[in-house]
Amino acid sequence: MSALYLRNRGFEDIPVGEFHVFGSHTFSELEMVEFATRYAPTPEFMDPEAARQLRWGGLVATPWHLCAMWMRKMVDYMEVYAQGVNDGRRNGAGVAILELDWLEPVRPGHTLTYTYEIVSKSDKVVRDRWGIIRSRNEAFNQYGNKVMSFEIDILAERNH
Amino acid sequence: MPEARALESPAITLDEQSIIDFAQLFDPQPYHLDRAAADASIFGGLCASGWQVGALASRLTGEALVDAGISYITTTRVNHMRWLRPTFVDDQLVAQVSFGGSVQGSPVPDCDSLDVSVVLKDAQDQAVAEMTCRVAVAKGETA
Repeated sequence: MSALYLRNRGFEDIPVGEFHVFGSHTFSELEMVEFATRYAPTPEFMDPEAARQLRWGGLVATPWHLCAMWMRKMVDYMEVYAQGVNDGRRNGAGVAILELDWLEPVRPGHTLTYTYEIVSKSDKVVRDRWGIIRSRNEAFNQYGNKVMSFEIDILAERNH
Repeated sequence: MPEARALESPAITLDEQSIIDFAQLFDPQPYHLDRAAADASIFGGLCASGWQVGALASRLTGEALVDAGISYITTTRVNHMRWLRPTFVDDQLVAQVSFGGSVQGSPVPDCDSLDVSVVLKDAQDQAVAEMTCRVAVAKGETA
């Protein structure tokens, strides 16, 4: 009998209700500015001096930066807990996002902690091979306030 | 009923370096980093992280709104977003933006909200992603 590692589990092996706290990240001013320069080039997000006079009273992270970091923390978590697999990833391709809300500004030095919970599995079979897993994902800041939440549908390879 | 006004953003091209740069920082999986591994993957070629596509969709949406004289500040909510096909190296993306309703207030200070539907298209006019979202615009400037 071989162990089932997180990353090489098939669709059937992943239980609804599974919950993980899978990573934390402290956002620096520099990385916020670099992300904004490419993806949201407005003063609120990329100019720390100008942002002090603007609507948030200081620089804030762009919304998609919080999502991008979610992805990075998820990949890191899966890599760490997937020993024994050369490249056995059996899931990961995203299909859709639902109800993505950005709730509070994230400022330089803020630390987000990311969680996910498997909320449902679809009966639909994609291309005779893949099932669809829906997870609820949340990010909390260092005060314990929720700053982002969304659900995402991800393909997972079926065993049968 | 007047037809809803649809806007088109400027185009942006995703080159290999920008796909790999994003992937190294945020989505270090083989199909976003390495051509050979990507060819053998579910996507069939080196392609951008879906989160990079999402970030660009919002950027282009903002540019289309600003070009139309609407002072877009940021996106506050994505009701639904669907990735329809991979974005490969050197694909050129454009956002087509149409208006839904507007709402008083926003999580962003001194802003109101505007609901928009966005279709992100490649140079062959194929839809790459679609999303419905709520954006914040400076007060007094909703459509």
